[in-house]
Amino acid sequence: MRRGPEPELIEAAAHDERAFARLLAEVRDQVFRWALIITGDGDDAEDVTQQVSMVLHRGIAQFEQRSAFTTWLYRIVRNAAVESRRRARFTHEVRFDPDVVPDAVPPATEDRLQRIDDANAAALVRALFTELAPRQRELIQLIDTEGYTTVEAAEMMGIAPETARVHLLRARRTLRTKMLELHPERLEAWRS
Amino acid sequence: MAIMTCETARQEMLIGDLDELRRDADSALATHLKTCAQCRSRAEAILDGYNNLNIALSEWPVPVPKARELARARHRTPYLWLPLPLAAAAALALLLIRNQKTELPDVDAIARLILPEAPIVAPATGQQAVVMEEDGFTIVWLYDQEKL
Repeated sequence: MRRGPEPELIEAAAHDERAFARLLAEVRDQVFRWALIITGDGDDAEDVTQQVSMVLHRGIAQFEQRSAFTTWLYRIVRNAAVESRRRARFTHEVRFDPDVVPDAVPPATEDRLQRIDDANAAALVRALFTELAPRQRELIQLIDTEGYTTVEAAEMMGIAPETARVHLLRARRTLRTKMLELHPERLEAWRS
Repeated sequence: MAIMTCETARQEMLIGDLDELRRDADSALATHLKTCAQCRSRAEAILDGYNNLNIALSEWPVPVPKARELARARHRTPYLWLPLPLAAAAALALLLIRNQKTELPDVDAIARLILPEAPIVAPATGQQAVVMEEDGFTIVWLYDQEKL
């Protein structure tokens, strides 16, 4: 959803229930993906997606299109995801810190990993969720996967571009090292 | 542009932009990758990794919207919107039961007792009522069971 929904749909969604339902259908998958990246937990991502739907429902009429819709939407997702992790703290003794790498993969994520046929892909997803902090995952997703610039991603995340850059480089180094470890034959070919 | 060594390229490709790894950028790394097959092989391993990661994540099943989410999306205008004192709202909420085996109470009669002047729509057969309190208002959502 690099460009986001059409402005006409966003405008209509503020006044028309069917337009809002269409808008929701258009953004839902993206919202879930963002929530998954931030929380690292499929169950939490589902809860966040629902929460975001309700926040959108309440707030769409107030969206004034001064910022990009995707920026606004991402901040809603981010806030909901952070709040979800903070609530989880009281039930699962999970401490949420955007710069702390989780100790383990949550059960819902582990369950999903078991279903990925490609062993390399599963290893990379596991690395994404266990070797990168939430903030780093966000930057990889927004910049490397979705093509936003560092400045755009920083604005969506509410951090300084310089901070985003530092975290992005660390994240890339960690993830790409893992990617190369999964292809030792290419590493050996280089060494020979 | 200075010529990049393989040792430097190995380090740069761990942090460089993907366009550079794709050799689609005007940079020393992209230029080196165009000419060095061994370094290019490493870069392609990284690009394959991103591709595999994206495929795995895109295939992660997105959960089907739950009933409440659908109800809120479809029914922007509540059928019954009563500004009620908290105690009255609680009493009304207790009387509205989401249970297929139990007949819904006479919402119309109950609501008229609490707020005689308010326009009221009672749930019809096959509809379920869900009561929520938001921002000092009590909102009752009516939605068709078969569409959930």
